[in-house]
Formats: sequence, structure tokens, C-alpha cells
Amino acid sequence: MGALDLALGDARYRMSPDAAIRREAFGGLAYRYDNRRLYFVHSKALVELVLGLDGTRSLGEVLAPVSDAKRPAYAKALAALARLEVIVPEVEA
Amino acid sequence: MSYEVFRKGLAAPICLTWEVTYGCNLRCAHCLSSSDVVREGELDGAEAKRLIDEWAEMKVFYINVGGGEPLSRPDFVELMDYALDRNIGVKFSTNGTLLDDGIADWVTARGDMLDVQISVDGATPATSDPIRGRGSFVRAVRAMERLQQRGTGFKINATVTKQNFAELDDLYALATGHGAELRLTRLRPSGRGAAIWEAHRPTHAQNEALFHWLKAHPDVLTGDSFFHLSAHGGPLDGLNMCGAGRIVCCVDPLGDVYACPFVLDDAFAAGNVREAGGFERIWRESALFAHLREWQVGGDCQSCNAYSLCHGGCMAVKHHVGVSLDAPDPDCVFGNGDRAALPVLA
Repeated sequence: MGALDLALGDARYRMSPDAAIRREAFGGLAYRYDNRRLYFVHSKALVELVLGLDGTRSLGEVLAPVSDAKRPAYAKALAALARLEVIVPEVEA
Repeated sequence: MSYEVFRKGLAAPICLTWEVTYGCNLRCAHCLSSSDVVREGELDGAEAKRLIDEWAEMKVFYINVGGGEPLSRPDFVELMDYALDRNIGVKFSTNGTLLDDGIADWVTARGDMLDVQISVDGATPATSDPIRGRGSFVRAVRAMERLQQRGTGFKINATVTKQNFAELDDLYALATGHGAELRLTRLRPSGRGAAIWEAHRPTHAQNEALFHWLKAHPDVLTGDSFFHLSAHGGPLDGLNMCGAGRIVCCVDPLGDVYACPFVLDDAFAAGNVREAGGFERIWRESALFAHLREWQVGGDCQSCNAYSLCHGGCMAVKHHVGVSLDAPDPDCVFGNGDRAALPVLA
């Protein structure tokens, strides 16, 4: 987990106010209002993780309940969604 | 993007077109909805809000609002605010004539979630006004200036015709000169457009040049309007597919739901939002939409090596010119549509 924590950082994440995500039969769809981009998320479990982001937990904490076998793939996917700014770090007050 | 993803049907449209009124102060020669006056039985404010509530619940990402002239609806701003406050993005198309300082301030205040498209059909009054009416171009430009003065980005929307084709570069300059983006749309023989389509549709040579022009101007938006031209050599930006009933649909001012805004016709009507189950039931259960999600253009197109690029083109165009939906698009880049359009002799 150590290397993974480093890669994802300890910032607490939430959905971007400029983005939305919804459940679909194949997983989910995410959309960014500001650049009109649509993203396909091909995993239902990943969509649930994103829907559960509330700005109180780091991505490492979010991934803690995920099995060791699946965690690297999920970490990669969350990092991608962070890079696409579908999910964003909570700004410290 | 593969059709396969959409076969089972999405939980909701990615976006949908909502025509909020048939009332309009212009009488554009190519109007896809033949708009003129407010019609008996248009959805009232309370019904419209219930519809927006449904869309918010389904997580429709954004709505393309048109008409008629949306700004002519007295509760337009109230309805759009209602949608925006429920996290539904709004893009509305206007002829600009009613876009006053108050509307410009509202658009500016609403930021990224709200987009405006101002329609002209040429870069000069001499080209645009014959389609949209005398004085319409100058009034549209005045609306553009109001938004530009506020530093608010917007889009200029133009339908590509034989007559305005030579002004593509000028349209691009008109947009960039106002801090705006250009969006080009395909002319279709829908609504009043049927009467002028043959005289105004771009030629095959213009369509080919348009394809290359779009490739050279990737910042020009098309709303996936020209995917039938992708057969000229590689997909244009966008999903490059017909989204009718699959990823989009259209709700008209009376609450009738159609597969696409370019076919406001009984053959493509899926139901009315006033029926039990409302919009969501139509989206999930309508027999028409179920059919469209399974259907692909068949016929000779299936054996064409460009099929994966154009998917047989636009069914609305085919429907309105009276050829089979399995026939090639009348603007097929290989000219196959010309042959399909020949009258069948009994």
C-alpha cells in the first residue's frame, strides 16, 4: 500500500462540481460540464466508489476495502479520473 | 464509439433536445420544427418543472433547448434556472433578437453550466437574411456584442448551405472576432426545410471540401452533424453515430417525445410525457426506441468498406426525402445516395 499511497497522495477527494457521474448497465458515464467531455467507466464497482466520494477520505482510504488483487487497477482508474478532473481534491479551508 | 455500448439502452439520454415553444418571431425558411406561433396545449410551467425533475432524477447531463424562439417563452429564465439548480447543463439556441442586457447578464452570471448558441446562416446579411428574415443578421450580431462586452463565451451556430459555403472562413472569423466558437450544422429537409432542401443543400464537391475544412478546424463544433462525411477519410470529432433514441431524443413543446429533433413526425414519435410513467418510461420502454437501439442501416451500405465510418448516414434526411432508411444517405460521399433517390418505376 505504501507506494500506492504515495502515488495517490493523501488529499481527500470528491466529485468535481463541474462533473457528474451516473450508473449504466456497462458501468457508468461521467460528464464534465465545463469542457463537454464524456467518459465511459467500464466498472460498476468503480462507479460506486466514485459516487461514495464525499471529500472526507483520501483515495488510499477509499481503496482500503478493495481486495489486494483488484486495488492496483482501481487505483489506476481513480488516478485517471483525478487527472481528467472528474474527481478533485477537497480544497483546505 | 461502438454501437454495442448503446444496444441495451442507456439509463438516460446523454443529452436531449427540448423545444420549449413553437412560438417564434422569425420565420426561417429551413426551420426544422416549422415554428411560427405558440400552439394549443404546450407544456405549462408546472408541467415543465415536473419534466425537469424527472431528468434530474435520471441524471440527464445536459439539455439542448430550442423552439421556436426559447427567449419568447415568458418563463424561460425561470425554467432554465430550475434545471441548472438541479445540475442539468443547459445549451440554448436563439436567433438573438430577444437577447437583451438582462439576458446577457443572466448568461454571464450562470457560468460554465449554461451555453448560448446564436444562429446566423451566413457571415453577411446578404447571405443570412434571405433564410432568416430581413434585419435578423444585424440583430444577431448585436446579441453577440452584448455577450462579448461581458467577456462571456458563446457559440455561433450556422447551417451549411450551398449559398453560404463560400463564407465558412468568414463565419469562423465572425466567431473568433467575438470571442465565440463556431458550430456548424447540417441542413436537413425537416419541417420547412423540406421546401428549400434541394436548392440549398451543399453540392457533393462542397461536402468534400467541408470535410477537409472541418479536419483543418478541429475547434469548430458540429454536434456530430456531419458523421456521414467521415467516409471521406477518418472520423470527425464526436461520437460519429446517429444517436436517435440511443443517446439523444427530442421533447417538443406539446410534450411529445421523438427520436430526434429532425424527425418531428408520427413515424418517430415514442409517446407523450403527460402519459403515465412520464418521460422515463418512454425512454426505457418505448417500442420505437427499443427498435432503434437494435437497428442499424442495412441494405447495400452494409457491404461498403466505409460503413464503419458513416454507418449509412442520417435517417431523418432519408425519411424526409422519401427513401428507405436502409438506403444510402442522399449525401453519401460515393454518390450512392443519388442512385437510391431515383424514382422506382412500378
